[in-house]
Amino acid sequence: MKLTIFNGSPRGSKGNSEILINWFKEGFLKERSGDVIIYYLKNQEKHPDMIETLKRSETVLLAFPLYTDAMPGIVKKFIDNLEDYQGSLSGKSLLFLVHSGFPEACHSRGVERYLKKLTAKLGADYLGTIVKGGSEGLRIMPPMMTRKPRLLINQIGERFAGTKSLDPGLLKKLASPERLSPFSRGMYRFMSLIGLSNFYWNGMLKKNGAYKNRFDAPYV
Amino acid sequence: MRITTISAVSGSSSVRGFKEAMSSQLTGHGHYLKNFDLTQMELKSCNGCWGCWVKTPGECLIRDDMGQVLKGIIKSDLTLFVAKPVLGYVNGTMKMAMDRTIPLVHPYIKLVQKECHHRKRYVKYPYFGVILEDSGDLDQEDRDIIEHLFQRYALNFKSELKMFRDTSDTVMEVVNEINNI
Repeated sequence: MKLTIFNGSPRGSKGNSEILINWFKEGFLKERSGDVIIYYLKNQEKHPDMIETLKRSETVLLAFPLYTDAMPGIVKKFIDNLEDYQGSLSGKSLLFLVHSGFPEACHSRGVERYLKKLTAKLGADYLGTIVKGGSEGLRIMPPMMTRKPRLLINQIGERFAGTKSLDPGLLKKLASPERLSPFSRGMYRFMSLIGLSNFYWNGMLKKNGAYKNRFDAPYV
Repeated sequence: MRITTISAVSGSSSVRGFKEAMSSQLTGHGHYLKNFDLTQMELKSCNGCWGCWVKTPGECLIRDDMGQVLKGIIKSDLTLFVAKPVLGYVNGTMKMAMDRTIPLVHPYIKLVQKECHHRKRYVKYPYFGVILEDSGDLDQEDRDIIEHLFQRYALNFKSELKMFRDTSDTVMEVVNEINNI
């Protein structure tokens, strides 16, 4: 099975989508050696060529970070190019990977529903959507901290290569938590009280000398 | 009421004519309108740098026309997205503009409706509304998906989607609904 991957991150190869794609690819190539090729939607001038590639591909993975509850604008621009191909992608299989900085998977379910409907409009087979929350910071985390999601996504990739389907049990594990439990919400409130919940952002604000301006509201 | 409209539709689109007729009537009813036509503006896509959160809080590092749109949104009581859906959702240009609205919220996270959402940067945000072109290719599921995605978008601003209409409604119906917000 040849797998064509479109990385829809506006950060291109420097983002968290790239890391998640590579974990999926690692697992995929364990089971099946073959062609896996990655294209970057950040290169908008190449979208027409990428659409031609998509039309020639058998199995396509589109991966992107959640931007304002849906796909980034550059991904939607790419999708818009398919308007003339409604119903004409039969025989092709599409799967998706959506990740967000929010810890819960529920934020990504709306766009997951859209992606399923989009696939139907195009006449292709929908193979499912891999959802991962809490993805911001993956790129700066030490390997020890990312071992668990990496193994899970490796397994999802490996099973996919063997069965051409996404294992629902593994998807559920990866997506967990779907919503924050009462205990997690309590912990979050406690961390907010002692100022730990903003640690990541405060570090960057301070590094940039912008901490004192963090509550600026320039448009009023 | 101060109303900002944001559209990304070409000259031949029926929703464009709808918006013009609606704007004229709303002005007649005493509303103050500010219209942004994204097709006539310089607008780059968000590159995920988060400079607007951690370098110049509240302001995007990209210097193009989006600053005017952000000002128009935050100064409005109601912001209307006027869109012609492509493959079941707003087109890429409109989505690019929506992505660029993240400077209006803060990177800190708060629990809202038991979910994580961004903290407010401004005391007040507008209500949101959507007017879609009904070109006959949207089914009920498409509408439900678009409405849901806009409801989520509004929730991130701790606001609400107050209106979800399309051009199969009359201009009068839409204007009456806006008058009652």
